[in-house]
Amino acid sequence: MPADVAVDVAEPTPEEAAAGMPRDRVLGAPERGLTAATIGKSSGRRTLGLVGQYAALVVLASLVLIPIGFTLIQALSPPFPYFDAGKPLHPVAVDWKDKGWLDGGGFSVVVRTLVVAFALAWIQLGAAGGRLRHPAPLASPRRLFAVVTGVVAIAVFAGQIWQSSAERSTATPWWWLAAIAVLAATQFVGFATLRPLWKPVVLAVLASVAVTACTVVAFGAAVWNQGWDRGNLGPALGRSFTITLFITVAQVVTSIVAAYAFAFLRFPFKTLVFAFFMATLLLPLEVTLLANVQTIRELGWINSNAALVFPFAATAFGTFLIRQGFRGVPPEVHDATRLDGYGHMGFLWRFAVPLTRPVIASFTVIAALGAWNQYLWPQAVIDDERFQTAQIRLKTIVGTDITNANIAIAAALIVALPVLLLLIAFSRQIIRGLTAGAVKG
Amino acid sequence: MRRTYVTPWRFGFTAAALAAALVAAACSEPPTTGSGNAVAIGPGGQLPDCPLDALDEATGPVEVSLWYGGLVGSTKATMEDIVARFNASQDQVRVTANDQGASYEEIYRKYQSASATPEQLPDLIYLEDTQLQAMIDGGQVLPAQACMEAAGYDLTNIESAARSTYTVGDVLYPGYMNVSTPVLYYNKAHWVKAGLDPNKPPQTLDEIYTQAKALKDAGVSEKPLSFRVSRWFFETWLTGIGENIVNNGDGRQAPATKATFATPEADDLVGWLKKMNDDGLLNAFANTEGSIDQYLALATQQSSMLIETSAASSTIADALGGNVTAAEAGIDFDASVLDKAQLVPGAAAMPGIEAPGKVFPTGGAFYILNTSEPAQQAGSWKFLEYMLRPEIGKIWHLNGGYLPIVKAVEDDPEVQAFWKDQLAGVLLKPAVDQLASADPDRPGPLIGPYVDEALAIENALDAVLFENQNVPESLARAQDEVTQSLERYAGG
Repeated sequence: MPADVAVDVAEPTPEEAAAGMPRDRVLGAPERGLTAATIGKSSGRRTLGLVGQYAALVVLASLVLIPIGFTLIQALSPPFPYFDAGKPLHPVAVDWKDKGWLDGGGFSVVVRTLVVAFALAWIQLGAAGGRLRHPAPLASPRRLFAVVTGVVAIAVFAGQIWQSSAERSTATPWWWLAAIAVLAATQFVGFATLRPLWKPVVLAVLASVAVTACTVVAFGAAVWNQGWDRGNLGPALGRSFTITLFITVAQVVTSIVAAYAFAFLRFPFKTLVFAFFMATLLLPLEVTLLANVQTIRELGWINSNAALVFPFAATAFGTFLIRQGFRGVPPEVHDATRLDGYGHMGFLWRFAVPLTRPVIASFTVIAALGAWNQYLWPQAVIDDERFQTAQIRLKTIVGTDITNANIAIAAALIVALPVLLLLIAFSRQIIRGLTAGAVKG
Repeated sequence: MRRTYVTPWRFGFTAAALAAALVAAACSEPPTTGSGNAVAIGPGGQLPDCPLDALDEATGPVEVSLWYGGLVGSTKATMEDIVARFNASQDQVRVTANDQGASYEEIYRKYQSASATPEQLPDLIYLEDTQLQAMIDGGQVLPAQACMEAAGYDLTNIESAARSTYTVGDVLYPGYMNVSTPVLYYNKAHWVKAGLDPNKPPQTLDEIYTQAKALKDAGVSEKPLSFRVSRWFFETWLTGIGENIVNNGDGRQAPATKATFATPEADDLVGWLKKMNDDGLLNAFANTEGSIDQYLALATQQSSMLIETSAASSTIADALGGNVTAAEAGIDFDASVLDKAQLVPGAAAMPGIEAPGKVFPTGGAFYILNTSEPAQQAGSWKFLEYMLRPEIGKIWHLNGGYLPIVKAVEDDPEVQAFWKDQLAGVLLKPAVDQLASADPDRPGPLIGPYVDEALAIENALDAVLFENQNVPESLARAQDEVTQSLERYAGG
């Protein structure tokens, strides 16, 4: 069936899936080193080049991550005790929520245990060459052992770290070291089959440091709960989720349909209509805000999902982007499907959309980000706190409450989390979108 | 006699006659009983009816919606707390409070956009004092005084200075006010280090200059005075020496038609700021929404003193107090506290041009809107009446940091103890005394287009401090801008 072929163009080949983690085609060299790029180069120079590349990557990654790290430190540090003591900002007075893994109620214990188990399983699976869709490699005794003992080790040592940090004990760094060492040991068991030998060691240590640090900070610091409670983030995040979902789906669907018309159909004044369509891009929200708010008020839509979603159901930007994608679909495909008897809808949903999936995925991310981060519009059409979105809540926490600035930052990080998850979920699509057409297969 | 009425551009027969009439009005009666503002209250000068009966006729609890804005942190928590207490205290009225934004600007914008569709307005709204004239002109306010009279509430329970600021043409418009005044916060540790007396902070601008110079010369702080460039302090200083910002008795006898602040006195005041700045004694920060840089300057010890709102006292106590106790930071400063703290916050009356503590009350106020149903109007008054109770006003003071406007609050033993035993209370006390001694005859300017006035004055101050422009020229330009804005406001 032709439709499946079209879809499979974008799917990984079976070999790639079996080989495990998607290999880095740009930087990593193929195993046997016999490609055009490496022929004629000594292996020494090749190693040196690789080291250089990775060093550059590490530097770049640090540049990107350092601000995030600082944000995290600021979230954890209540700002003023340090000023008074004449010390620079440093997260030593972190307020810890629980003193042991089993504190804090059944729900949080189950969630944090599951999250750690999932993270360890994912790392083990990745190292073993599996993927979430093909979890078979995980079912080996040593990897299962690594996951289970890893969770136990974290549970035991995280509680100790919280306890000793809360008491401002000098033993805290030793508990950290112990946690990392024990967790690394358990993970090494799972990685042990890898060769050369430095690989499992390095992997075990890196995984252990990352998992320990993330677990202790994410589940132990009280600031997350304080931010959540102070901003009453639960209902606000729910509201943001709802409107983001509706807006994204509506924008993607309307953009695809409109783009189809502009890319494949012939109708009078097409260019003119398209120009008008694009002209709406020139009017930023701020310009139309007052008039649109008045319209919403007259419709009686104040404090409703309709007011939050409806004005954003269609966008010229999405239409433009996806139209460009559609124009990349070879005319031969269009002609062939017409000969095969496909109508407009059949061609659109079975060929045009699958072939431009990277563009559509990128647009989905952009649309969702825009909807999630809206501030001005919801602030204008919502005056009932039950309908407030997460961004408005953030603003009310930030305010001028400077003594608790760290709580506001923590709340901001919580609100940013869904965006991060969205980027991770769509990263494959986005990267494919960026490299689509770079290599002729 | 007030100075405004003898300023140069007031010559000419008509103007002189008008001024004479106004002076007569001003001198013959206290400002709370000045000439009536017929526009807002109706042709007979009568208060509108406050439909208190509607509450008894209503079946089931009356839903009252309250919009507030500009309350953050502890003040927001206090607002929510008081609403919850009120709802629990009776079952006739249910108040739902909705936060419309962290700044007064945001809630005012919200009000403006909703005012065209009155059925979408709340029943009760909390707005900054600066919006008073605009609210009256908008005609959507039910003066709380009408309800006070209908309910037999004695409005002389309210501090006279606070009352006079929110009274126009003999009518008190809001039903409750979160009053604050500007005060001086200073780091006593720096005073000790510079060899100054930590219990004698500056009282006048000249003393600020000499003490700031001493602090800088001793090397304890880089730029001793941290200052947010706000029109509020400018107005306070000028009002403190009897100058008016606008004509017609600062807009109190009749709607202002002209700005009158570009006087030699104002030139001297801004000249003082400029000199402080030129000599490296001023740490000036542009007045942006939610700015905290002026506090951080104290925290990082870049500056030694700060002029800010009294409502910030609990923030200052939390942020800078560290482990300093009220007794240690109190009047009898004990130098041994310096062993454990580098920051020992103190507060003092607002230094003035001539004398300290010359302030007028400012702050957000609660207005009943006449656009809602009679039962909602009556329910709104019930809530305001509840807030006017001394035990509730006390909560605003202790937890929210606003000054007591009901006199009985000050006599409460818990409040007395708060002023003595808690750092926030110690820091708040100068503002309380300042309000008690504030002159009801100097209630501050009343301006319709307040946003424009603030913008013009702050632009002029910014130009002088950050762009090194000429003082009289900048002020004259700002004055023209405000006058034009007043004309536009009157015409539209």
